[in-house]
Amino acid sequence: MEQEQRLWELFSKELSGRLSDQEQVELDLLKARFPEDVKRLEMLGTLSFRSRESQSDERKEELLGRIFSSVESSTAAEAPPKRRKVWLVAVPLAVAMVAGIWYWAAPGGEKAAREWSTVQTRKGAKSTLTLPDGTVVTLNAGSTLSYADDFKNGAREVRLNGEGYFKVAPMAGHPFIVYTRALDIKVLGTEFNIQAYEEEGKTETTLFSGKVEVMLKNDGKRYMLQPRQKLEVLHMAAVRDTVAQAQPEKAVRPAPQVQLMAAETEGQDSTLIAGAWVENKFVFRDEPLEVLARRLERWYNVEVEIENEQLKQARFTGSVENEPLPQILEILTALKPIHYKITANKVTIY
Amino acid sequence: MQILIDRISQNSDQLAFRQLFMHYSERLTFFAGALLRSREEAEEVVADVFVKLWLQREKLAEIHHFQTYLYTAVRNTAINYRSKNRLVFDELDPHSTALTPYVISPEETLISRENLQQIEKAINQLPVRCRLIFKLVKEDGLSYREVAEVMDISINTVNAQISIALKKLSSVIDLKKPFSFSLARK
Repeated sequence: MEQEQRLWELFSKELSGRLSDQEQVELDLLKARFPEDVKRLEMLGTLSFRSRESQSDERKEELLGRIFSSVESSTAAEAPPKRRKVWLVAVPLAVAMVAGIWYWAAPGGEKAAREWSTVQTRKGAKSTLTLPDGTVVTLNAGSTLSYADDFKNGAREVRLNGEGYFKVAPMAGHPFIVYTRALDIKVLGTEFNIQAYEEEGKTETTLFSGKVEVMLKNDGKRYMLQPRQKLEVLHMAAVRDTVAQAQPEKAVRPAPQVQLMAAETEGQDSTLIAGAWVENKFVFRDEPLEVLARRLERWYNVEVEIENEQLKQARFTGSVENEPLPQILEILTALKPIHYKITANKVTIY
Repeated sequence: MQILIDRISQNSDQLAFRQLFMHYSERLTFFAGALLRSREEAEEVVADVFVKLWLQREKLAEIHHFQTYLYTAVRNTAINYRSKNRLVFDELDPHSTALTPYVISPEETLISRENLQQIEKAINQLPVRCRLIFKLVKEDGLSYREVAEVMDISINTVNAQISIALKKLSSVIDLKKPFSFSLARK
């Protein structure tokens, strides 16, 4: 009886792979003595076990949604509030996150509903992600990227509001398509940057390498971009109407102003400035303070107010790398006669 | 797994985080469920751990045994959750760690349906703690060392508990009725 007890101990140890040489000898001897137990154990070894209850994928999605909204609420507040409170707040928000996987009629009149998963970056943060096809996207602050659930099957379609730098994985026969409010971009393996913040009133597509085709939503015009070219499309204020996205244009829309040009470069090796943000560089070229202020808002997650109307149109050129907000503001004051003050989460320029 | 962790830690990669969560959610919920009264509480504990994981993602790369860290974090959070600060795995809900044995493929086993039912019954009659240890090893794939660490017991205890489970489950196998599948094959 004792020997049999020892046999099971050794069996257990064998399972964990921690049997010493001496114990191995002992086990072999015992095995010879209890052949039936050996047989039973072998039979047991052919089984795998799983729990009776399982967690559905839907449930997991729901929990993941809760997690991200909890993250949002604890990063929004300076100090993380008490846990229990976070959860209370989190529950209603969770609904919004779960709705993040929503049904969206595919552009082009397709009837079938598809599921889209959404990734967001908040202001002051960047995020790099690898999509299921191997495409790497770096999302700039305050951006939203959604991708369709059938992505893996070669339907490579994403929606973007904000700014993203894409390194598209080549996949023969399966173009990668980016939908934005004003235009769609069709690409094969390539690298490009697209800035499509709805609040900016324009969409800039800059091609780094490869080939992309841009199709404007409202007049259907197509543009082929060459490497190091930039396509700038101004949205008309009247077109700023999000409903129009889901419902193809009924009213006649004015054509956007379109400009195809060489992309701006910087430095001796003439790197394209459109990709500078990916390297934590903040580059501005002849940029009105008004636009610059919005970029600072996203980049540093602060509110920027310009008190003097005339200043809004003052143009600035410069480049800073990895600098905290006060340093950038200092640089701006050196360039033009402006003043600023910083209060909690707000910058006032006057 | 390490690739996922690096991607989360270095790039704040939400998709990698999502994969990580999808991989661990169910088993961690079960583990937490062994310490808490309801499944809802268990899910809340796991979600809580993942919230912290994301908020501290930059430090993830420094963790050496990620899986142990994860289970331990769930354990500690669950303990905090039940106001009394002690670890009592024996109090768990007898059904929370119920396991159903299943066969990978009928051709590969010599065990008859009758024996399978007996084994399943035997699993669910194991003492709760023993069943949980067995589950962590057999289903979650934790090593004895990992189980010892996350349950705060010695490796010898893990070894002893597994040997009890193996012995109990084997004892119900009736060697006279094992060959239903193999006979059918021949």
